[in-house]
Amino acid sequence: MSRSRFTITLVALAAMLLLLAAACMLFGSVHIEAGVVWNILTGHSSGNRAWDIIVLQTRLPMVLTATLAGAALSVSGLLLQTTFNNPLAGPSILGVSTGAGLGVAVVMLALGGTVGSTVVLHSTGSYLATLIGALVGAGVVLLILMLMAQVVHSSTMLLIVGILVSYLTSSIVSLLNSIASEEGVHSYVTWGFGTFSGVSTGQLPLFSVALLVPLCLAVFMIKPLNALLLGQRYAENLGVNTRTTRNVLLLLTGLLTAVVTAYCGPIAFIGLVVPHIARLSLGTSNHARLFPATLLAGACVALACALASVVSPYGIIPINAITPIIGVPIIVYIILNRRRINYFN
Amino acid sequence: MESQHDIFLVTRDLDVGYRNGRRVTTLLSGINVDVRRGQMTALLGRNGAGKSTLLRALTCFTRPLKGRVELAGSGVALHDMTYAERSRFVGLVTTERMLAGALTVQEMVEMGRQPYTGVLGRLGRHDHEVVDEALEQVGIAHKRHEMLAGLSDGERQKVMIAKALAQRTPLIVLDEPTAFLDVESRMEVMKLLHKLAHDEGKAIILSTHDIAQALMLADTLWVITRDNTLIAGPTEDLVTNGTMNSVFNDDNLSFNAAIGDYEARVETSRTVTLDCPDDTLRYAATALLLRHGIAVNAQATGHTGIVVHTPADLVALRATLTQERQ
Repeated sequence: MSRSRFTITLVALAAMLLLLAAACMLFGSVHIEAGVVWNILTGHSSGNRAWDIIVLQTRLPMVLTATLAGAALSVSGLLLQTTFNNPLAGPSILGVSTGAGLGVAVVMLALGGTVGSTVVLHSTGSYLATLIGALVGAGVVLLILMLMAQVVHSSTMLLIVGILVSYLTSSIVSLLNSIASEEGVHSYVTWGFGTFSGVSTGQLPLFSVALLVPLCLAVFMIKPLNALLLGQRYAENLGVNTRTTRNVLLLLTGLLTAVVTAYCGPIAFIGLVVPHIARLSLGTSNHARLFPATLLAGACVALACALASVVSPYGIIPINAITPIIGVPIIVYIILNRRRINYFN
Repeated sequence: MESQHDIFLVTRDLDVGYRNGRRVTTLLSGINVDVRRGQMTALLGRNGAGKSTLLRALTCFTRPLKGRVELAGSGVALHDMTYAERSRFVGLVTTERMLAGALTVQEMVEMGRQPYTGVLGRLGRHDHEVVDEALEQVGIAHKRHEMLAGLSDGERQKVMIAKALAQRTPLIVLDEPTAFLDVESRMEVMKLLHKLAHDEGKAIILSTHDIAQALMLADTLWVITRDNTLIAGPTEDLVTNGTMNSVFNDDNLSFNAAIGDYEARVETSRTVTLDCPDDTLRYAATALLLRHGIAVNAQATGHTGIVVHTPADLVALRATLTQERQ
């Protein structure tokens, strides 16, 4: 029974992914016929240069970016939730995104707005600097969380630590903003809105590899992740070196979150909510099934956000204005139904 | 063929306790015990005596403060093994809370095969056979597709035991496996463990507060006394040599070897003899008299003799005692 539920869910998610990707290719501020879009995608120029550029250099990179970023953030959330044994953990709530954001801010503001979101991110050098900034920032926050986790055993307390770290990093960012140049602040603020349109065609290969490598490595963590569901003592008894496993999991999480944050901004809620969508729709905590479902559902949610951000007649809406609208109701539902949801018991 | 009573594990001058920063608290020291295949060992002691700490050290969840836990014969210390190696020697069952409610019974028992599967955790045909057998052994096979969240505490505990069985370890350590269980499930779990020791040749160590059950079914006792020594020995020996009376600090608690459990020592004002042919009636009458401050002594002469031959006598006795109290 549950096997067919798994198959059906996965097929449905894959179909939804294709549908959303197609919608993102078709809709936007400029109307282009579906047939024309198809021709451009299959390598036939439409004759209208603007349309070619819109389809190949705006819409297509956005679709790929959203797919990868959504999958990465969601898997990162899944890994964090199991690592900290806390279903309400996520890269943004634990402050990992904010940490990455601080790294980005330092780089951006130091370089005085020459790097940043969509428009200004052009030179590979400054671009790598942002990425490294994000990695260092996320790494520092994860290190703090790991150290605190040794002392603070209550997972609720650990969440609060994460939130406190977020506040602290936000305040450092504000301080940096007050001494930075106006353009620097502007590009940082724009970056903070979140966007899936910040990765150009030229940057896509690096972005994809940087996410696909940790995603593939995460597949090898499925077995120890399942053992960790039983708690540290059982996991170690099943042959899992929990310390090493936690470190690897946090490293992967840090990589995924930092790369996405550097390119797309600190995107909230996707990492927190999508693992729950996967668990609720599959009715299992088994990571062998959760993992592919989380991957696909994450891509779907991100594409839906991307679609919502571009179809508005009033111009582009920031991604971070949309994610809470999807995320908050799900979290509230989960909190209210805690006792009835199997994976909390 | 090796004997069913082979020694599997020995401890050498083991000290257990915990480290809190630089402060070291030793709970038990100089433990030299052996663990045999085919035997069930019950670890008894008051709360805080170090039962759990000792089991944590035996399963290498924590390092012992001193000494070694080694495999008999080879002399290899458990602590020198990798997690993966150790997971084939010792299986664990605890009552810790976990977030595994959305796993099926079968998925949980399959976890027991993790020490034997590859990096992706895929189960082979042999693994499936072992899992099926473990499910049958604990009698939970009919619920294999149900979620853990929907099971009773007793059923969950059986599933965790099946997980340990699927792990195919010579030793299974259980930290208070019968805590939180009702009498029926407690009996079932204890009988199951006893059977696993005797029929499957497993070495079983369990900590428990269920003294009567432990004395009935355990071959060996490890008793932690009030002065923090661990006394190990065959159950009968420890019951008859007075060890059981050295467990608790409270003088008002005495071990009654006849019923295999502790009872409160009540202050009595007088002693009577009891003429009663039936064990059940005798037990009930003794308790009734004790509640009213009257001790029963079979040998004593010159005391009032009370006769209870039928349940009706018991009712009459109760009426008399109630009247006396008013």
